Amino acid sequence: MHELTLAFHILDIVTEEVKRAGGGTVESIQVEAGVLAGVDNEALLQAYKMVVEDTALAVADLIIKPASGKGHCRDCDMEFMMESIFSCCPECHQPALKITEGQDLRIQSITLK
Amino acid sequence: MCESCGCGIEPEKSPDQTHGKNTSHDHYHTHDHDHGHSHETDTDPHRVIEVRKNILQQNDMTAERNRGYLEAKKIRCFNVVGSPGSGKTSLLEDTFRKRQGTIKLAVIEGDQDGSLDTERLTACGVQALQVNTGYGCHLDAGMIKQALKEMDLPDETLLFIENVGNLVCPTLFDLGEEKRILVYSVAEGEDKPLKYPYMFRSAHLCLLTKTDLLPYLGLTENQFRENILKVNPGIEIIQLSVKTGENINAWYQWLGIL
Repeated sequence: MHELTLAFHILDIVTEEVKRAGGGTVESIQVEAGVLAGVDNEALLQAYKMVVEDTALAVADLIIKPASGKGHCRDCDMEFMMESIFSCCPECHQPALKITEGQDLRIQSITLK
Repeated sequence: MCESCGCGIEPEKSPDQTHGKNTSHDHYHTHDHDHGHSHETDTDPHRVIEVRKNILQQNDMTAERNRGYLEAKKIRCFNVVGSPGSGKTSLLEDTFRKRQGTIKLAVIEGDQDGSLDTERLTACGVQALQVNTGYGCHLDAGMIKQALKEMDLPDETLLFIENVGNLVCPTLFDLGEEKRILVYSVAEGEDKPLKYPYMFRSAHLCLLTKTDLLPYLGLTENQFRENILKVNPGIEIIQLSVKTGENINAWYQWLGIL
């Protein structure tokens, strides 16, 4: 349940950013979650709800947008789209030697009322 | 990048930076796209703070600090992960008993509760520190920073961090280690890389342990290797048995302490 830890980090970062921006009521938080990050978005939403209960973010929506993944093929030196961690190179059907995109979890923006 | 919701879809640009007509893009959220107004803060009741921060930024920065500290003291540090019962502690115990006295060794033990492993490893004559995570399912960089401060290790120590036994949660958390070692016993079955791909993907070395049990399982080492490489083609694999000592020298060689 590492999503709980992530939810606490979201609470900390958003609280800090809102304070720095001079305060305000948060309406929503936009998060980009790479499809190869190993995070269950539903579990993150549930964890977030638990963590923000009785905080200033209790009414703020967490909006998670999946971000696509990319990998690099060792055999043909091609970069290809990865829908899952098992996605293989469409040319030579080998798994990606290196994942180049889709492992990040980022807070993109915070919308205030 | 859409400046309003940060969605990555390029809106049809208009002079006042409002959204264009194409708002039917693919993500789920509750807010309304139908706003034909400017995003200037003086006219928009919805103020947007652009953040663009990694959620794990704090952990990653602390991990980099740990890495810098360890490098400065020429301490080699390995994050040892794997299921409960995969043989992490037995491997370290065996390594410590055989190499104690020839090199400075230390271990940080991560468990939810208790200090059983620390007691086992302290008995090998090495410096060992227990970190209890309580309800937590993984170690994080902050815990390691604190542990390193408490241990005050001498230069040129070989340090192992035995993470909480778990094939899921420790994956995302960089501790500042040089490399991640996954201990995977044949008793867990050959399908685990396909069930827990993220952890297998994140490791540099996979130690396939308890190979003395292979004849009882009716499985071959190649069946394990095939699945590990399907998930992580760049990983190194060393198969060994702590119990019989089979191939244990390959492990020492990898560590540079043969």
